[in-house]
Amino acid sequence: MEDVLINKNREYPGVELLEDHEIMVSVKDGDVHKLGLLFDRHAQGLFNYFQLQVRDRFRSEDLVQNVFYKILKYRHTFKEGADFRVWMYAIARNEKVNFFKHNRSSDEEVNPEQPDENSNNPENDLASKTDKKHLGRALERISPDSRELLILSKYTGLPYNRIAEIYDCTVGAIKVRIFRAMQELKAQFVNIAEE
Amino acid sequence: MECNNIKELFVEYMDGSLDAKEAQKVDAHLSSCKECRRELETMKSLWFGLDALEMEKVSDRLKKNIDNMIDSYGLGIKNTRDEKWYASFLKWLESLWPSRPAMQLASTMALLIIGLLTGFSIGSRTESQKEIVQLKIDVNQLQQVVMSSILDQASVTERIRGLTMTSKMKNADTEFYSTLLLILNSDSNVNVRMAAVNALANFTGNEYVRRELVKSLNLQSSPLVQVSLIDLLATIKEPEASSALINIINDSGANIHVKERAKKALKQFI
Repeated sequence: MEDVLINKNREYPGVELLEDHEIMVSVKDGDVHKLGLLFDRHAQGLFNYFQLQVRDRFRSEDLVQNVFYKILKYRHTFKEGADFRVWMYAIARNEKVNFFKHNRSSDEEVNPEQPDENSNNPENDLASKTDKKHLGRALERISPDSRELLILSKYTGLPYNRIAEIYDCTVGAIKVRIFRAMQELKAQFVNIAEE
Repeated sequence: MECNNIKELFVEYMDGSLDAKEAQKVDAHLSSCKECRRELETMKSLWFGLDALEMEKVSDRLKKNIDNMIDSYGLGIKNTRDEKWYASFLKWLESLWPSRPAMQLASTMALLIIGLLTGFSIGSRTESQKEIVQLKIDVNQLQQVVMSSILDQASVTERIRGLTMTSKMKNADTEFYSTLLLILNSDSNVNVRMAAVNALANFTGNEYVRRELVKSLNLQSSPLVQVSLIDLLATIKEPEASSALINIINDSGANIHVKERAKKALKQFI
């Protein structure tokens, strides 16, 4: 067992020069400890992706772990030359769908009638703080599809062409959908400000 | 160009990914359209406002969990690589394996009996101890096949049922334990992890299992699993557990019920 633990060391010389898909190919070939490198690179983006939709720290971390477990389990299905992040977020989207299927109580849709318990709090009078809070709430209120799209484009570092690959549509279509999602966000932001 | 066509370019215009020619078109339109200018200003404040939203950071606990999962998985692969001539036969056997744990157990038992009978007949005919040893190894490999099919079960109920059945197994080996420990440390479902604690409770006679159970205490996120692990370690009076228990008691972030249980367990060691 000892030799396996020694291999855990993530200090592979020149590793920063390796592309994600090259690392993933090594993982696929059995060097599973290199997966730690991909975790270091992408765990935060993946966590943001779940946290903004599930809104529960522990569950989001569990989901991140599930994704990495699936990556190990299905590593043989990774195609050489494919984009690792596109593959990883496709797995993540599946995990998210399953999560909401089994957790109906924490429904993907947030009840728009829910009162803002902090709206009268004098500590929140600072304009920027209130704006941030309103923006966060507006993001919760838009449709799940729009929310996911904005999260992917703002918090995961994925370029539009990769997001288009995840959704299996053209880059042009993605840009239009992001614009529509922004309009939805704006409408909710205005609603909240007027409440 | 109409306002709507221009607005659809706003997202790229804001993050600078629009090509120069199209950016010029947007600029030209904005200079003559007050409504679009206002719309762009609002969009900008929201678009860059999203960047300013504070995101929580990934915890060290998750990093530890992932490292542990990779270690356990790596160990499993290493063992598979060590397989000898019977590896391809077992792969073929695995492809024939029934998906229901009840059927899996029945098949294992049947194969076990065949294996033992063959072993005895060889033993009585040739008295060749070497061959019996080889057959025993094969039986151990079969345990692995059973375990890996539990790991592959998509449904939580099936995984729990599979784990419950492992209590009937005897003469387990390290690979078998490491698979159970992998489930304990990395299964996504709390109930499955709880079932893994119960399954491992049958094998606390093994030093490796006891050591890994102590390690697992720091890796668990769910208070339920932590409590059942503490109870198990207290029952077997594992001396190595005391420092892990003290860590929990001193950890400001630990669940209050878990802390209480840890204090109670620690008293049993003193």
